Amino acid sequence: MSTKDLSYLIDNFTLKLDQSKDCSSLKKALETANLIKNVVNSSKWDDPNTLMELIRFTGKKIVKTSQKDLVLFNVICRMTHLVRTEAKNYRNTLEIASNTNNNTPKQSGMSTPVMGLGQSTYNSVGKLINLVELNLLQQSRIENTSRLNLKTFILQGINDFIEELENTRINIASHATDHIHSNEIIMTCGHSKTVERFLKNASRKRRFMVVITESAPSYQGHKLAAALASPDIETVVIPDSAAFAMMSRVNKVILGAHTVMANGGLITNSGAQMIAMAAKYHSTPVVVCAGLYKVSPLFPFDQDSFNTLVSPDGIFPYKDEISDQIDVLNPVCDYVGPEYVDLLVNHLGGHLPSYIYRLLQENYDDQDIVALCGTIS
Amino acid sequence: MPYPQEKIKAELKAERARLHKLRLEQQGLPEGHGTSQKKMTKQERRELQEAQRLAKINGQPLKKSDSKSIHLEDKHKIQMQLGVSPKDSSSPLIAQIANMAITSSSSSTNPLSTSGLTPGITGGTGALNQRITEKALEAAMIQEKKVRMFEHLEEPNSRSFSGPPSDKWRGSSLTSISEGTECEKPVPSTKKPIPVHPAVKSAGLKMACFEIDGANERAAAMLKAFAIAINDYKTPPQQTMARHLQTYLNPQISYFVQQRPLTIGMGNAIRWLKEKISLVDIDKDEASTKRELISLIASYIQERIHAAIESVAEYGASKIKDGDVILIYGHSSSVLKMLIRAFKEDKVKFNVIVIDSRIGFWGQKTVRQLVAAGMARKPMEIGELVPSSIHNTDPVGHTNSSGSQAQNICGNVSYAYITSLGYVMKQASKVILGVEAIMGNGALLSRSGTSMVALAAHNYRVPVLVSCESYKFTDRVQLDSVVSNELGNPENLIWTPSESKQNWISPNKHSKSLVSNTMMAINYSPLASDRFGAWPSLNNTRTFVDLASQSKTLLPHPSTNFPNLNLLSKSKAINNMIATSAIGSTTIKHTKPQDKSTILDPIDKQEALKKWDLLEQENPLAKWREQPSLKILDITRDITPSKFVSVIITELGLIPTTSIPVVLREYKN
Repeated sequence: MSTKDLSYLIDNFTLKLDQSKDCSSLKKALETANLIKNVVNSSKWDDPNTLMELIRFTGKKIVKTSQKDLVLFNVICRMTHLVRTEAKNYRNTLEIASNTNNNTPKQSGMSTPVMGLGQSTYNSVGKLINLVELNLLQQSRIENTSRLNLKTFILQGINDFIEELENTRINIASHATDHIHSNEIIMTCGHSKTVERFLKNASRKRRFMVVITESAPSYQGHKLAAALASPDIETVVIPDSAAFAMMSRVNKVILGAHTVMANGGLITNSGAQMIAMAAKYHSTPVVVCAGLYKVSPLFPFDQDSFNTLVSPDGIFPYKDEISDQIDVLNPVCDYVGPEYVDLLVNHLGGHLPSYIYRLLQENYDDQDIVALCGTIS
Repeated sequence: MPYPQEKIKAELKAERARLHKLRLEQQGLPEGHGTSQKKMTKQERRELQEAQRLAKINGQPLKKSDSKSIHLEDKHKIQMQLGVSPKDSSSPLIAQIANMAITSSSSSTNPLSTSGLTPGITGGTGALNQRITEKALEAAMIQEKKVRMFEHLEEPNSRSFSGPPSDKWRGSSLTSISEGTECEKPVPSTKKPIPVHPAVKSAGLKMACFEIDGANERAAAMLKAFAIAINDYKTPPQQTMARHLQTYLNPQISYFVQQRPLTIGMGNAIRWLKEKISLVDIDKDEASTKRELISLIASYIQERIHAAIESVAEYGASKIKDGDVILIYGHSSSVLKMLIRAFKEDKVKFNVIVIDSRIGFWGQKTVRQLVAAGMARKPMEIGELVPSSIHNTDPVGHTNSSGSQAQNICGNVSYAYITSLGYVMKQASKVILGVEAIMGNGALLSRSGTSMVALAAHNYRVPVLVSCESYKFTDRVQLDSVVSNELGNPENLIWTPSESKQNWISPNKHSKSLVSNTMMAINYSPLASDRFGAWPSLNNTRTFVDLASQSKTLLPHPSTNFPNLNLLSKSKAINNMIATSAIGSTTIKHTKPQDKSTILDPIDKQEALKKWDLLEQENPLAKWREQPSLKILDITRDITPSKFVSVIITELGLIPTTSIPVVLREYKN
């Protein structure tokens, strides 16, 4: 595949992304992963470094078009990390194979960076990165001959990742019964598909009540309520203003998230912060259901850094004669600080917000983040 | 007691009354259903009793009024129409309906499944049976849709339910004031019911439909109505005014209670008035006593309410400084007065953020009044547009930064929903809240959402100033919002506003009055008339709707023998839509029944159906009647813990929340 084809592929993708504004973040992540898979599959690359460059090029273009959608950013970063790990593993196996063939002792210097990658990149980042890149270059000649093999490894890795994405909701939902007891009153807001699945799964074994704030101005809560209401789940829709009044009776707050930030805070739909605050005041635990692909390596340095203000259309009519004399604020997102979050549930299980850094180390590389970060304003 | 309003609409009333009697005659009175009762479970029996009670309430006015004068011909004619012999028309039907209600409520089984068992309810029996079943179903529905935690609270407007069910809606509706007489509760102590004074009725109805809203306005309106009622009062023979005036006022008070729960301020005012009446000198003549009472009431309104608002505004305005960003919530007359005073008289340079929430969108009213007072920025001219201001997409920038919009730095009004509180709160330097009452424990009783704003302010370390006139203080204490609250009509939450969905009703340019603004949020419902009534729209049976439902074609699926819950509401909604569109073109009052049916031509109906389908798509809750476990709860009040409050601004000065009982004590002595 030529660069022309590649950019055509990317343009096609971004266009599709643009058109489907309401599509879920999981779908976006899947699409991105598939795109990368396509790139790996159909483009020409001789060594992992070229491939990495290709993926970065693609990633930069995608991330640029969807500025605040960190899920895409996360997926690209994980992809590059995956390629790097696969390349290293592959080289390692080659090494071992050649070592066993030649009956020579294993070079310890080669294997150390591989073993220590996850833990040590953060300690001496620059030094190690250089070392890794150097190693990759050195190895590239050997790998040239067996590029096809490496490709299958990488594709296998991507497929595993896609599988993880596809099963993420089911896996998260499987933890539901660990967190919900019978006759519980649960509050949630907005419409997170993950939370919907989570609650539905719990309803198979428990009977409980869900209180949903309607989340004006998107009124996504209505959708969730209509989807959730079943004989096993008593669903109550309340206006956003009544969240504090109801909180005194709520046992648990379960939220979805757009992104989980590196500090354990959340970017969620607007209104969630208020609910989290009310929960904190009433000492009600806040459980957040979010897939691993939503865990972002970026820090929210400012509360508004990942927020967007959208058209006020939904909250104040344009037609109104005074609409041009006032400022109508309609933020889509809300930032919920880690101090409000009691538990983050992903497919691996429940974690404290303070544990996020560990997940980050296992799934991302600093150099990718740095490389891609430039595109995020 | 004949009042002019009633005379005007006497004609319409007579017609309605006639139709109503006919209906009642058709239904008959429930008797003898013992055989079926034995097999029922406890819950089923209760459902049945409910159905019977409804039927009985229907029957009651029949007994009271001259039921025998109803033309036998009419009765006979209708029975012929129904294909039912006079004897068996009543009891099995009721039992069947009760069964219907049971099956629909006790489990998720589809009411359609029972349709086969009830051939009597199909086809020819038509509108009448449908109406009865509707009522039973509706009762079951209300029961089913209750949230258990809030069962102790009254259903919205059920307090106005004392007449026949069909008048439940009329009782609290502005459009049919003449029907109001049927709603009067007979006072047990007197033989002859004391009529509700039209001034009281007018004020009460305005409160019921939220035309008069806000604690201060309601209290003032109520007292004014009482003053008028006392002015028109004549002591009956062999009674002393001091004693009888109390009994005369009681039904007036209970009328207000029926329409909407009283606010604490209103309760305090009533208590004060009763006390004043009890202190009336028995030896004084009637005219001077009345004069004295009326002047007392006038001074109460003046001193405790209006002057209090003024001085609260004065005290509060002194706390607003240059560069402040004041965050307010919803609408409060005293807070508004305070801001306008600070802006106009004290010339303070500050910005305002108005937080708003469903369902009332009272904040829009505040915004309008602030803009009318000259607070907002001027509409931008094309010449003023410079690239920098275009790119300054952060609309909050104006509030705290002295950037490119330096010339606009003061007097800006921002508007946001309560969901974006976390986003806007950090801009605010002070939060000023209006309240309905302050409890003895320092907790604020106010419109729901106030506690959220206070909590956010507390978390962001923003001082919370509460403006409250001292007549709203109460000895009562309350810890949470669940124990006592006022529930709103849940169906109001179904419809969501959005301009893109064409649901906004643009406010009338010529009437910037209270009504157009506050009712804006209400009007986009296709069930607009339901706003006034008990919440299941099934109750809202107007004559033309009745006639409409007689035509079989109205049910979307004629094949279904029994209308299930969805179809009922859907058909009703569609009827309503058609009817409201019809009202626009023709005046329904003067058309004869035959002409009315022509209103419902098939094109209109199809359009209405299409519109309904669209609405259902856009509003997922529109089908909530079909889903038994889906409930909607509109809590209209909440309690704000006293720890969120920095200071209370009263006409007595600025006091902490802990001083409420002290002030009350001072007043008592």
